[in-house]
Amino acid sequence: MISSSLSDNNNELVINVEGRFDFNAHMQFRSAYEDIGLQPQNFSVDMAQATYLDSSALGMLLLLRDYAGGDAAEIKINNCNDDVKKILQVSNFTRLFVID
Amino acid sequence: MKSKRSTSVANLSLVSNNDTQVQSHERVVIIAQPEVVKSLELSIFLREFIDISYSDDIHSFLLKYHSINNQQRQLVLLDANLLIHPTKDLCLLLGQLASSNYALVLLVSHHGNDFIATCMALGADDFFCLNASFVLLDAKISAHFRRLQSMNVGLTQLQEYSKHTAQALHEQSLAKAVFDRVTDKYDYDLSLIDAWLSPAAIFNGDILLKAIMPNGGLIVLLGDFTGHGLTAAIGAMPLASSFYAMVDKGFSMGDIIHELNDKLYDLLPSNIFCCAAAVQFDFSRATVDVWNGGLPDVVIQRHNNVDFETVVSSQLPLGVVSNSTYPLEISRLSMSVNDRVWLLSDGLLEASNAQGHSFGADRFLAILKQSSHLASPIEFIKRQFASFNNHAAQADDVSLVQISMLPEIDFLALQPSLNRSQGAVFPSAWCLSLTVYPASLKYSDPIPQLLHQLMELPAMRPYNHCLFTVFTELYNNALDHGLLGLVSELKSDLMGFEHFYARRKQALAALDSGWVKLSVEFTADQEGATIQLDVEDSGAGFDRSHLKAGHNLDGSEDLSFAHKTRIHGRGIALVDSLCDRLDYLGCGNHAQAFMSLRFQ
Repeated sequence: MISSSLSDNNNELVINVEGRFDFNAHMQFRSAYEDIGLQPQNFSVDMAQATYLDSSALGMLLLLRDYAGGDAAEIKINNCNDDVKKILQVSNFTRLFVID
Repeated sequence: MKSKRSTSVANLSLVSNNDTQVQSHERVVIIAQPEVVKSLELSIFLREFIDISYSDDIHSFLLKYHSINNQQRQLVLLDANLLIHPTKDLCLLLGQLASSNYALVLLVSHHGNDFIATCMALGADDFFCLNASFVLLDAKISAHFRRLQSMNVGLTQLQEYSKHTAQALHEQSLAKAVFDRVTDKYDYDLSLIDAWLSPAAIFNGDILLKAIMPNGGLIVLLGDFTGHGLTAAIGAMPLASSFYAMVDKGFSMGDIIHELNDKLYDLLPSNIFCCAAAVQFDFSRATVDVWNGGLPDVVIQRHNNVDFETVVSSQLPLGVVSNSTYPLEISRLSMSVNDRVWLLSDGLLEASNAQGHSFGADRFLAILKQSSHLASPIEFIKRQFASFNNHAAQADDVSLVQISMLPEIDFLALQPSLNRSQGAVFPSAWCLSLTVYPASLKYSDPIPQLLHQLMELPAMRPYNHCLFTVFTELYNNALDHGLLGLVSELKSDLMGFEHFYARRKQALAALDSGWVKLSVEFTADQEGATIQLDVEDSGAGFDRSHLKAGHNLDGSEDLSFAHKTRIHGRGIALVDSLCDRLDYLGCGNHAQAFMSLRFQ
């Protein structure tokens, strides 16, 4: 289950991931940033409610990174539980995202 | 009375709204006595889109039935008075209708509730009392067609889905056939590698590549692509073909990994990548190089079963970023005979049982410990895994690979004899000369290119390993000792070995003048080939009078620990043994090797 919200000044888009973050969330995750009709400066993904992510979720994060400007993008991934954090660490996504 | 009607099949007429050419998908079939049909027509004929046919008894209808188009949705109105033997008649009728999309409505008049209930239990869908208003019959007919239509939509979708599934399976099996050929390009029987790869639904996205390198080493790569099926196959093919091409040309693991990363980064969309780990065995130096980009810890299990070392994933998976931001981090470890290296994808560790416990790394290491004395530890792990998940269906994405360190001689004995390909072009004679300056000395290795040229002739391929050794030893000597001025004593113990390479890296980075020149003179005919290799460098050379067995290239007498344990100082002796003649010319900065090879 994916939802998203814009900050008051439309500067930051926060994408909330709930439950399992896997291929089934593909469409929802994409539309969470593509269908908002404007391009915010900052993006963050809130994993507070995420229980698990798999490699296709990692792929989706890479697509978001491309969308947000590729190497120039600074995307925050917040509130990861230990399992989620471990998966991000093993794949060394800590080099591409700001992980909290 | 009924039997009379049953003989009147010839009189049976198919009545339809034949004034129109409308090809309706809906059809009302009436099986009823003529007077009932007549009363119904008043109602149904108003619905001009409906195609109507009638029959005045069940048996003649059954005889006639094959002429009805099964693609249509059919509403069958059955006069209950025609049911002489309700069970038998209904069963016959329903049996005939079964292959079509139909609804069966009983037309009842004086029939009791029990009779109606029995008929509906047997398969009738609905009933209509003939003394009720035909408005209700119309409404029922509409409702039934509505239901049949949505069923039709569902059925059509199901058919399309089955077609797509069949097509997808077909494509996957095609992809698998190609995939298997690409990945099993060399079907080595390497008993030092033991692997548990799940059969999975055609593809699980895991790929195991293994090859013997021209320098006599072994390289094994385990990869885990995002996605599975075709998605994985699309990435696996360039991965495998680049891997084997690079190995063939003699590139080292680092170069190979960079090439694979580059290939996947170029070819694949950004959400498809490959978590991978690779290990390169050097049997002569008894070392392994380990690289891990996104897989669980690579485990080195020492033969004494006390120590485990791990190489954690230190890099992004392959295909995520370009090589410019992908400096390689490779760990080199010394190995003893029977030390084991374990590569695995996350499937095993993440597999969970009915109680919701995951298999996990701790359990895995504990099981490894128990399995250390076994000849085939993977069989043991499989059994432990089966009991962990209570023999439930086997995890479908398990990949686990174990490689044991062997004495070099045992590994050499395992290597397959390569068949000489046909179609070679003889005779052949050429000379190739290549001079390499510091900018290239720092970053590239010219040996693979030279070897590739020689291997164009298929008959030469059995000598790939031998030539690689000679070329590499002489080139490295020219570079390390001639140009960089390093001395072999640095290598006199295991720590020094690492020290030597650190110094070498430093010196190479600082190098700003000098050159190494390589010349290959090659002639070949049906019988065999001769090769003259000249390696010159711009260095000061050395006094070759010291060059005899037990001496280092720099002339010092080799009585060190290293000589006894054969860590260094074997280079020249090895080249000498592989060549017909090895001379040092000039001031010792020019090595000249002759080899004559006989084709079998």
